Amino acid sequence: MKFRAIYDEHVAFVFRTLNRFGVPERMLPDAVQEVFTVAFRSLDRFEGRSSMRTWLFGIARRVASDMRRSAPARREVLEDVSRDVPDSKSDVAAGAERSEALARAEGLLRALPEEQRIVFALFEVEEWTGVEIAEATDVSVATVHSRLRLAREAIKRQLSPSGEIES
Amino acid sequence: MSDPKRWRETEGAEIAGLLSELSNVQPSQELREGVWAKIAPTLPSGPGSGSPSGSGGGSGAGPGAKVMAPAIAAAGVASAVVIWLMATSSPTPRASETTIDTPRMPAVSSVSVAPSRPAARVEVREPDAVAAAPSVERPQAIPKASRDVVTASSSTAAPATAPSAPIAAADRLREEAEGVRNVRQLLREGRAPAALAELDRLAKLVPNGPLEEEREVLTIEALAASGATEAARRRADRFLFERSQSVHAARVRALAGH
Repeated sequence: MKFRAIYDEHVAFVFRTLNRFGVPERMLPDAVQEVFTVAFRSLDRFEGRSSMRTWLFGIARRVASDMRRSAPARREVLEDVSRDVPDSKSDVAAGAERSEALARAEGLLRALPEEQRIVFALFEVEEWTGVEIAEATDVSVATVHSRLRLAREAIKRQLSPSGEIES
Repeated sequence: MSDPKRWRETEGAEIAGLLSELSNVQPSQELREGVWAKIAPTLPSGPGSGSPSGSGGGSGAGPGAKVMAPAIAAAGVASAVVIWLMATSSPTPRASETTIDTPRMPAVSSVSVAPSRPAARVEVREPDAVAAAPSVERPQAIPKASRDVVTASSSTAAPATAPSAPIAAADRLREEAEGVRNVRQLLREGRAPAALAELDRLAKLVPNGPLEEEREVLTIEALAASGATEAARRRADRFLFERSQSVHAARVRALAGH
């Protein structure tokens, strides 16, 4: 029962995190599954020193990294163009229904370097504290703040056509 | 060291709105249940460890404890391909245009966003026949004679060679190079649907050819040129994830509007 409860509570966060690490949409279901499979397999080793979400974040980061490394071997299956190209019709349909505001927000995030993107999302979207982010990303709180500042500046530059940054 | 104030507290409505969009992204119910259906059988405490509550995604996911890529295409989770979507009804068809509501997979979104906001809808006109396989223009079809030669010389022991069987290595390279040249020419002429059809043909003919990466870039370019911007973006994201060091990475970023 506890597995299901953990899954329900954190699956959305894991999903968003994997996406922010650049896991392509097609691979997200596998990636989500992998994160929870790993987590549940080693749940007895979770010592509670960090929060569950911090722990899951760490697993998600490793899963994304592994998937990136193994991508060439998986490419043959993942990039079955004969299936994908016709699918572009449904992709187009998907795009038609996608929220423009969400697309814009995602575009702003995607344009950031990964380390800034992760810090910005954890702080501003997930509302983690600087200490939590520092722990999860293995950097100091000062580095977290620095990355957050850079990310904010970059986003403001993107939002402001003139490139000026309001303070 | 105290944290700075969050943007939600200090910034205006525009940024608050963007943050709200991002925080509302979550997997669709179909994805949640589809993934859970694969995880549940692997749990140590057996069947009682938490069955899906009100499971709805049981169809393809059944006993498949083995997961990974191949399952994506088959299981209900395949619909996860469709992401960042608002779950709304199908677009309004128009009489004189090809409409875009003809998905080949179940029309299910893998991500749902908080339902309170209305779905913004971008109207996309389908270019002539991007994916209408049988009727699509096939520029410079493979010379049938050359393919026959290949199959004839190697078919003494295997009488029934499928017409789409892989061709010999040397021919494959030549065929792929020629096809890529065709695609470039078609794109220069603004004939993106024909370019996509040619790319599709090449993908079937030489699925792992040496020019596969170049073909993928051209596919992204052709999708973007044909107005399938969402498809182009998604493929570009995947390309950049898997091949971030590629010499084509900058071009792909530009095509995807990054």
